[in-house]
Amino acid sequence: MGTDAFLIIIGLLVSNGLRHLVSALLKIRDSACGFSRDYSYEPTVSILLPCFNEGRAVYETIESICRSDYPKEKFEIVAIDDCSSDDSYDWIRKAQDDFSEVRIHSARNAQNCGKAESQSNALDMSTGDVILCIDSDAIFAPDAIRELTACVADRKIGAVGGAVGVRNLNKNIFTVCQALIYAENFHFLKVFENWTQSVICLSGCMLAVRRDLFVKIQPRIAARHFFGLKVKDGEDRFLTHMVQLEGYGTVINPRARCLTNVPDNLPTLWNQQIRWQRSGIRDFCFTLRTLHDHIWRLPPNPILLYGLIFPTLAAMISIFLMFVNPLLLVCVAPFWVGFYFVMAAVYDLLTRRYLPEQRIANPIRLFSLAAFSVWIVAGRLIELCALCTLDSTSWMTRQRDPGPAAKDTPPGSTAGRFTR
Amino acid sequence: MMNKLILFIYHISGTILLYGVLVWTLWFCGKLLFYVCNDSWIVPTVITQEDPGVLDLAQKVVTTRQALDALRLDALKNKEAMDEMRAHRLQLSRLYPKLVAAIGTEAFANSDNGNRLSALDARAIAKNEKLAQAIEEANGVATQIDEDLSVGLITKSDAAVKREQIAQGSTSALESEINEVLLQDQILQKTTTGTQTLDVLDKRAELRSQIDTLDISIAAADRQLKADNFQIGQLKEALTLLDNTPYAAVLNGARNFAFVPYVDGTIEPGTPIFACYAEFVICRRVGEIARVYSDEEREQNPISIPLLSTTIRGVIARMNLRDPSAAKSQTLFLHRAPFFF
Repeated sequence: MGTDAFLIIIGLLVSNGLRHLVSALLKIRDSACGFSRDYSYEPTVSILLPCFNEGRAVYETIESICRSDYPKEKFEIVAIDDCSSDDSYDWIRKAQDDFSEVRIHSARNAQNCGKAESQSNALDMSTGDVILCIDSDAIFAPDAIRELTACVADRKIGAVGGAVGVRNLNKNIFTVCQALIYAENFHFLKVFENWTQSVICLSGCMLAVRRDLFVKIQPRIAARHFFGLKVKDGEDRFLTHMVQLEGYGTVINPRARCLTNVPDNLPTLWNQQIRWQRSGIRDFCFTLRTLHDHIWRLPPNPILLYGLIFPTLAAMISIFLMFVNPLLLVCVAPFWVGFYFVMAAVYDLLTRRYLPEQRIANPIRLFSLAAFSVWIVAGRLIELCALCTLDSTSWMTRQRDPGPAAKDTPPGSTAGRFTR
Repeated sequence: MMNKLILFIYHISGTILLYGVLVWTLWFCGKLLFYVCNDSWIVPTVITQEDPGVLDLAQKVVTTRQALDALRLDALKNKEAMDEMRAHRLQLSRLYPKLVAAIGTEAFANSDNGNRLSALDARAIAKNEKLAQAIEEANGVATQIDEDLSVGLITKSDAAVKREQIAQGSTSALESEINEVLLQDQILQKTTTGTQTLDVLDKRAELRSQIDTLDISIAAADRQLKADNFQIGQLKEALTLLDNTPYAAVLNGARNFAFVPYVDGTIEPGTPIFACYAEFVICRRVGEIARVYSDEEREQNPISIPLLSTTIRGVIARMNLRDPSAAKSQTLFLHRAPFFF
């Protein structure tokens, strides 16, 4: 058993190390991430903003969009309040009044029906050639819309996402850890998927898609169900997947940046991770169900790799670890601690130079990144919880308290906000 | 309807599984805490005669006993040979002084007799010279006899008598010369180192050599005997050690043993053993410790977290179990039930 455990640890470290190495090589070779951008292309853009209990944060979101350098006449904001129990709708209306130079449409659902349906309602009210789906607690860089539309100029690209950063990164250990993971994924690991223009999950926080494609796919998003029970989450992953099945590429433009508030306490983070894992399991099942489409339409396609082979291997390892010898999970953790220590050092180095808005103010907190290694254990429990709660329709992570954007940000720091 | 049923079953299954994991986790953590706090647990183990350790021990015992027997035989042979050599050496050592004394006496006598014979030889030489002179004179007489006979001064019978007298004198002179030569030879033998003396000296040297050779052989045999006896002692100790291992007890019919961590410092023969349901609750007395072996053992800790504390140190104890099934429990407890029931 000791040898098995050692081999598993070595395997995990080597595979993870190789993934990072390949990504680093690709990033060094082409910082533009392997696809062209045409900044002269300026289609009309509809920004869909479903909102639920965001309070003042939704105003800040609209404000950040309105400060975009994209021509004001070429984009519109469609904000839909999903029957918030707070004053979110009032903030939307206030933004509508304050930023009159931008077309802002607002509406309220008759009843609370979730993000996906709110998005669908917003789509009905939109007119733009490119649909930009965003989260209602995100702050966008002024050039974010331009960076996204520049990618859509390529007819082969169906959907494009941006690099999501953490807005409240200096709040506590949870936000610090997530800042590292977000940066690692959006600026590093996704490069590997960008290489083949087939990113498997564009974050719903900032996702631009061609209108015709979105209109075509939206009914399928709305029609998703789990044995008759309507599925309300994971629409971003499903949308990305469907765009690829339609024969278009999906990419992430790391220059299109936005910041979002991430869970700052364990219960919220736990629920968010379960929700994400749940959408991953659904996507895996969808991949299995439509395997023939994947094989004939998308060879060789990373979806098979990331959507089928990797999850299967991960599941097998998880089952092995959990049921054969659960204590092995604890064995792996020390190696992960070392891994994340290195990651923390690299993160600090890179954010100082390239991502000042994601720099962690207190260097001592960097060491707390190593605490994220416990996720090797927690992740397995999350997988199990997600697997057992696929019938859940709860969002679970919408907070009533939107919180200040960067409560812990020291004076003069650029962390948690964009600078020109 | 079918979807609802599937959802219902899925929901129930998922809930049961999640709560099962939760309960299992709590149980596991509770168990871990219990074993960390409790210091009276032991890990039972059943060792049969087919156990590789037992087979290995049996083989070692046989090999050791064979070696011991062979050494004992060698030692016995060595001792007998040494005794024989010592007896032989004793005989030779008694003979040697006699030989040396005889050689000395003989040399002294030869020297004395040689001097006396030399004196006699000088007299014999003088006598022989006189005889030679008398023979020359007798030869002249013989001529005179012939002349006297031819002229008829004497008769033939007188001449014959006179000639016989002259011949007898010659013969006496000759014998006297021969005796003198023989005397000289004897003197030579007495006064010089001859081959006979050398033979005797050779025998003396040979005797001395035999004694020395025997001394060396006896010393070598003595050393070999001591080495054999030392090895015999070591093998006996090894056999005693082997007899004191749990595996030796298995060879004698014992089966039930337990690994006792060092945390329990009060274990001794007669300490009561308890077995429990659900690992550590509802316990009953199942036997007692029969013997505690002194050798340290290292075992995989059944409750520790891998990589943090994989092995623990302790000793092996033999158990007398009234309930043999208790030997199959994951842990047993000494002294008393962990929770007093």
